[in-house]
Amino acid sequence: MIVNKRIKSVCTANIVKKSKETHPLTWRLNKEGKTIWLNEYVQKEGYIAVKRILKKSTPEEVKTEIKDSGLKGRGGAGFITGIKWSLTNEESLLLCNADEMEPNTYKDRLLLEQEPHLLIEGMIIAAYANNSYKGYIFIRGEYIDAINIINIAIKEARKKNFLGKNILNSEFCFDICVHSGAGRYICGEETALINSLEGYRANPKRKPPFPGQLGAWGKPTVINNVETLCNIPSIINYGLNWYKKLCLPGSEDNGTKLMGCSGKVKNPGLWEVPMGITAMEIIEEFAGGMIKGYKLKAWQPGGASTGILLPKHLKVQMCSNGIRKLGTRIGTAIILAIDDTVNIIYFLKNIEKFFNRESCGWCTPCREGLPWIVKILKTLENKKGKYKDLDILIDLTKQLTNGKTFCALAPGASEPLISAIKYFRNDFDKLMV
Amino acid sequence: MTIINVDNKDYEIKNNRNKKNLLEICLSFGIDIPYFCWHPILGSVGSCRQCIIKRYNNRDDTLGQIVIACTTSAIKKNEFITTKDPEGFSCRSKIIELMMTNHPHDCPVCEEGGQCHLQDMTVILKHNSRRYNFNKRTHKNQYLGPFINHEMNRCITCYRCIRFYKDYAGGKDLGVFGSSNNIYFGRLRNGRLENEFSGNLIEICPTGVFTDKQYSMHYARKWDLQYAPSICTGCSCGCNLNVGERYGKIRKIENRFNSKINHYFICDRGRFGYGYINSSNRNRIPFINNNPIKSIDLAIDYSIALLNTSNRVIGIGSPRASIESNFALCKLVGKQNFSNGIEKREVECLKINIDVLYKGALPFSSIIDIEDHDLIIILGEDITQISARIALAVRQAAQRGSFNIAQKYKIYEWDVKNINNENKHPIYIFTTNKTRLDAIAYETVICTKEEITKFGFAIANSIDHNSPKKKLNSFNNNNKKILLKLLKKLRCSKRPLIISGCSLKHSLVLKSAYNISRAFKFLGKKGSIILNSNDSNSVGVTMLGGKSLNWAIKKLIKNKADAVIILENNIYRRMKSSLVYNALKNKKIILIDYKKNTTIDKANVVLPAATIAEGNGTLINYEGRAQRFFKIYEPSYYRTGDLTKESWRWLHALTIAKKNSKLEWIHLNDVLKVCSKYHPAFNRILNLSQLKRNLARLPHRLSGRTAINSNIQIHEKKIHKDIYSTFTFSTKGYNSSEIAFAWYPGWNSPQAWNKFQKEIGVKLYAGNPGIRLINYCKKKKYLSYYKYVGFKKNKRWQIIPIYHLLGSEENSALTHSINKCTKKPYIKISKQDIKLLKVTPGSKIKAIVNNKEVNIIIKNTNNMRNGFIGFPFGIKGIPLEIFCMCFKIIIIK
Repeated sequence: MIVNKRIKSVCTANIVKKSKETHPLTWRLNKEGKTIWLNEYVQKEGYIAVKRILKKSTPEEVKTEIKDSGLKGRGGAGFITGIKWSLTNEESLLLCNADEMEPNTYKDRLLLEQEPHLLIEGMIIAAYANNSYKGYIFIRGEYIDAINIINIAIKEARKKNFLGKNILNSEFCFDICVHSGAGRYICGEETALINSLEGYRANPKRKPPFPGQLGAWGKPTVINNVETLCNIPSIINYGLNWYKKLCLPGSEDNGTKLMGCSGKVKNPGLWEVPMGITAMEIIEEFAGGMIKGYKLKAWQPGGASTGILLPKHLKVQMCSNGIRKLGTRIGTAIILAIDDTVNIIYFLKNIEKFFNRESCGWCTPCREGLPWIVKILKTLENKKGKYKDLDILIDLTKQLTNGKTFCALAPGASEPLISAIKYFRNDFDKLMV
Repeated sequence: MTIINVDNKDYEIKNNRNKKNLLEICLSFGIDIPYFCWHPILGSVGSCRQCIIKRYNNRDDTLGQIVIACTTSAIKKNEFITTKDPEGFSCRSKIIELMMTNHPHDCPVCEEGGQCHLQDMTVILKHNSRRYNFNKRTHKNQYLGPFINHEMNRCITCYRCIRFYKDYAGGKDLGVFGSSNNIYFGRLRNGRLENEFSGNLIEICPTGVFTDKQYSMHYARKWDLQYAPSICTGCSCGCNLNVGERYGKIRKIENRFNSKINHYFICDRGRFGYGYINSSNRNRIPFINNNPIKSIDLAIDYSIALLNTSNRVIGIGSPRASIESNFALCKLVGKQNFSNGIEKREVECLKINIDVLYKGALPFSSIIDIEDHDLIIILGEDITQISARIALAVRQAAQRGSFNIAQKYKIYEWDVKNINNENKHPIYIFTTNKTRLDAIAYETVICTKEEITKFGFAIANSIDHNSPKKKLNSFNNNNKKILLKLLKKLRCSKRPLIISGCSLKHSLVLKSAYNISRAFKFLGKKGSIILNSNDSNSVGVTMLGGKSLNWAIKKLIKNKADAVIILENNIYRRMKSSLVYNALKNKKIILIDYKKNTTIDKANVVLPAATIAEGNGTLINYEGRAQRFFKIYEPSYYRTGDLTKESWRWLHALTIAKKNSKLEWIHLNDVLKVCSKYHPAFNRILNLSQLKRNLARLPHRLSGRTAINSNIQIHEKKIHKDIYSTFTFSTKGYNSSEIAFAWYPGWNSPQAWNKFQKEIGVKLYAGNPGIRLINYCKKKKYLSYYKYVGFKKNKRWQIIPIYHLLGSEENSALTHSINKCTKKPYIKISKQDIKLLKVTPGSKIKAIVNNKEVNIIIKNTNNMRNGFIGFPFGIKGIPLEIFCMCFKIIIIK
């Protein structure tokens, strides 16, 4: 039975010491990595926030509170959640983006599998604030355990009247549907997600109209990432001031974030850490540094679509304003440590192959440019590259920038390539004839 | 007013702020910005990223920002944009480089070559060398039917095809598969594209993925075709065409932009149904008693002798022949002896049509205006198969439901297609058989034609109680519910439209339609009406007057007349064959026609008439719009001894030979000048094409005029001079509203229409060719309500014509490829009747229909009412006479 199964997403976040004041997302986690079902969740201060807002706050108040907290989207783009919410004024739909497909990212899975009720509570509050009557969780198709767990959790919540009609005897009605995706990276893009949910091809749509004005089935739609929604209950519970103080000095982003590290490090994993922590701390302290015999050659701050950085950049603060100084994005804030045995071009070929495969084929630069990049990288890999190939690569990356492509997939795909050409020119030169 | 500064030059646009995007605006200034995915009708989606330009914040801004022109609108009062800065140009040329990475270099053998938008854009962007050194991706092609070739390797993935086919035309069998650069546009499996507008993919596709299969059998480069503006004769819409010819054969038909009728799209019947013109079954020289005659004079003399020896000559005109030809016949035989060649019941319908045109309470809507209506009621007409272009416009009207939402959120008009929206304008269909519009209709009621009438009268009566009574109470609960809902919607509607037509040959249906429109007027609505007719000149010939075909047949049977002139009309298709047989027995018959039909063996004289390809003339469409078609080529130029002439020339020759007078009618207008003396309504046609300048039939890039006959003789043949129209058989000429071909320096593809338009996709520089003869006048006494007439009780079986776009029309059905697509003879009956008759669905049976044996496939349908037999109309193997009043069917299992 799934209910008592040890969940595969059990990780370092389960083991480390946590307190509810400093680890609002993960303090409830048990060491075994078992799912926290409704009873346990309620015991651990669960659904208090819902009860409170239903009694005491108006939707507008909740909206302002979230806006003032400065909570930013945790999906990668880092858009301020409160501003997103302020776009919708009428009855709307709430979408939870759980299509976590960014290579090297595993943070939403932890929350979905182990703390489903935290997400549900966050969604109820978001729905209340945005006057939504229906929520959808668009979940990655491969997250089979997560889909099952969320479905059971929704049933539990319905039984206790946290979902359904007249929630907790208030006038507020809200229910959640789970939709599992068929496995496309582009579905993480909010407009493509809407298209896919509606049953159309998962192509991104142009904004405006923003989903907040005209989203799924022509209705105003609020789309938030799993982690973003999970942040909401504690903001309601403990208030703005507490939330704002969570991050470290120097960070413009408030609160904590699930950050992780993978690669040839001693103790790869996922931890809830305050925003503004340095990358050095994550790699050296949390992950325990590199395995003996391996040296850190480069690292990626947050998923495959972020730029490649050098060891000398490790002192940077992990927050959007910190990473931005280095010309890339914090992304999902899960670090990939690349060791010195890895040829950067082989690594690039792998991730570009992924982005090429996942390109939806809508706009020309992405559709035709990425295959070309992959083909050139392959020739480089086979040591048959020519010097003019590098010029073509540089040309193509120029074409794959924001504004010239339709959505953010291609600019994201070109970011590691641009930075690799910048920092590892030698590796390229070695492979060219 | 907005001032747009493009490349340091100021342009003004009036009241267009926010409505147009920068690409449209720049194109209308004549600035060439390359594009692929944008289309004036399909709007912007921003997928090709080709129309990159640079936009500045103000005059002093030097950095600027790269924007996609088709998805950016002029927001500020003073816009500064440039198309010439190096960054923008390099972006654009790199996009074309990316497009070309997978595009095969097969231009020399591609039918699209020379009229390819991709070629044009590549040349504009000066992309001429290749850096991509890898294999190109390849696809397998599909069989898409006899009209369209599929060559997916050429695809540049602009998504225009499915945006047109699925979103615009409502097609279901073309989709997009795959991802990344492995995108495939095609069907689930091989098979004919089923939508009525599939042919437009040829013009929509910016390159050669979808090409004209008929054209590719005998393709020539666009610049080597000889063109003239023409009008479609497939139905009463009067869509504008450009017909291309080479070596005396029609090679292809293209859409000709007309902002009131067809815009950018024509149906497959119009595009592919030209086979009868090229057919070997044509009359090219006169025949006297089945003997070919090589002299015009002989034929005329013999005919005159025939006419002079007869007591009374009856002329049977045709709703398919031009006004000029019909009038010439009327002039020759006299008004008292002229029949319009249409069956009585249809004439009754057409007369209502004309009455409503002149005195109706609401104006007739032109096809494109249909799109602006917010509620549509269709009474008894399957417009998807009879006049498909009207149905396409109705589809757009339904989709415009989302315009309200767009307005609310300030979404630009060119951007509306970007929102998925299920908010559709209501369409109500009352029909005898299911139609392809049912899917987007709020309600479809399948009933008998009498019931349709009842519905019509009841709707009118519920709005205005002064109209003839047909109470709601006489309907069953379900129908009453539908009617009440309809009435509710109607009261909210700002501009309703009512569509009906002659296809059921039941004048009461049209009367009920008029009554509804009269009631709309009573409500003070700005609605419109459409009464559709069957043939391309039905309205015109009815305006001329003349009696019905039944009258002519009756006179002939009673021997009240002993000679008959039949003009371009196969009367066996219109009347019961035994009646026609008796009528023509022992009569002197002069047949003026372009094809050999059933009457030909009995005709004493056969005179070869010109089709729309070889002659000039005027046709009048359902809304009373007169439009000219022009001779595309001179038959005798290619085929010595070809004596094909316009029918009105033959008839005029007979008239003057009879009177021994001089030739008076040389130009088309000479005929109409006389005609408008008798019928002042036609006066307005004289304003058309009074051009003194010469217009070219041949594109300016023509390569081989001097070589065209060099395989026969090295001497260059003298150019044929056209003294009859403003067009010359050469490359020299000007532009006017009559555009023979869409070509402009640098723009070889149909996208060149941009260059002829004042407002892109909206208005031609010289206005639309053609003129509406009857204007709706607001301050007059409207036609009063028609009275309700009871009808006899139903017989056990009622025959219902089922129309098919491909096959139901006589001429187009003669085209080989259309013939391939026409249905095998079948009948449709309800499930209950299938049990009653003890037949099995899908089985082949023999039936005797009026003494003729017919093989029929039985089809059952849930949508058919009990007691109905649906017969396909006009299909080979089903005699048309069963649609006449009397019929007898014996089914042999």
